[in-house]
Amino acid sequence: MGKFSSDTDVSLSISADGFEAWRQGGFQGWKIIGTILSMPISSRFKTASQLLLTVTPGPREPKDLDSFLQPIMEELNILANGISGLKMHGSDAVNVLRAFLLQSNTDVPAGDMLINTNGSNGMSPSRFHSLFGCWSAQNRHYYFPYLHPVTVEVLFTLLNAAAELRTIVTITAAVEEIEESRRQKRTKAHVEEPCRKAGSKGYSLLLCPSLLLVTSLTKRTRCS
Amino acid sequence: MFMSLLRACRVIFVPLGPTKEDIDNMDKELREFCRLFYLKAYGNDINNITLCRSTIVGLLDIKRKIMACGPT
Repeated sequence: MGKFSSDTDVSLSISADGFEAWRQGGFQGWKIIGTILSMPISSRFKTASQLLLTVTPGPREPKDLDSFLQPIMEELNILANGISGLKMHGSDAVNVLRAFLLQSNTDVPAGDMLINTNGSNGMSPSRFHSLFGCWSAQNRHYYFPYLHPVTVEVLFTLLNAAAELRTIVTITAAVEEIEESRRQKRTKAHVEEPCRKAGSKGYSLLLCPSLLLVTSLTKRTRCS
Repeated sequence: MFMSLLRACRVIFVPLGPTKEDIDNMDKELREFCRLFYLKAYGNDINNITLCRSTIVGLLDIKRKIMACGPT
């Protein structure tokens, strides 16, 4: 794919989803599983090849999934920086093994939880376009008409693919606004307003991490 | 309207994986489907607003999602 410079660079994928251990709903945990994408497809998804990275302790789904992801991200940072000393069969050269997280596989609700977004029922459900829905008080739901039914205002463009694209810069700015309101200890209603507009609940390790956390993870990686 | 969706699905499910031109064509067809959907099904009528679910507007993101997964 042109993403990696060396044969010893490995790509990884993580999958996350909730599970109920018993039918009566007595225990609900979350598992996060790693898959090595550099393996052949025939053996990549076999049980022996799956890396169980964490299982949340329950009894309900985790309130803060990022707290379980943080140790995984620390190890992924170490792997991305490279581990030297890898010797390959038939060669005396010492190689550096690097592993990169390439993708995450989830269903829609788990994906929303993984990147800390409001999901498809929110006011701004798209990660790629800055589009906003209309609140229907009768149905208590956001809908996404092309034209506003009352004001006839155009809410998003259909034909121009490049218009109003959200980038990581705009998403980060929106998340910073949310976190700034939290830091200033604003009221819950005041914090929820930018959350609705951004379609996000705040910092997320996979989509939009806190700069302080990134610095701390990088420092810890360097020390180790 | 539904022929646009059908043509887009043909591109999505090609056996060997779509090329960039295929993905661009699929995006055009999906945008055309959305345009016709909002014109004919919704018709700017507030009584039809429950048809405008996020799954319809989510079709506009498919190209970006495919491009995010594959080589660019």
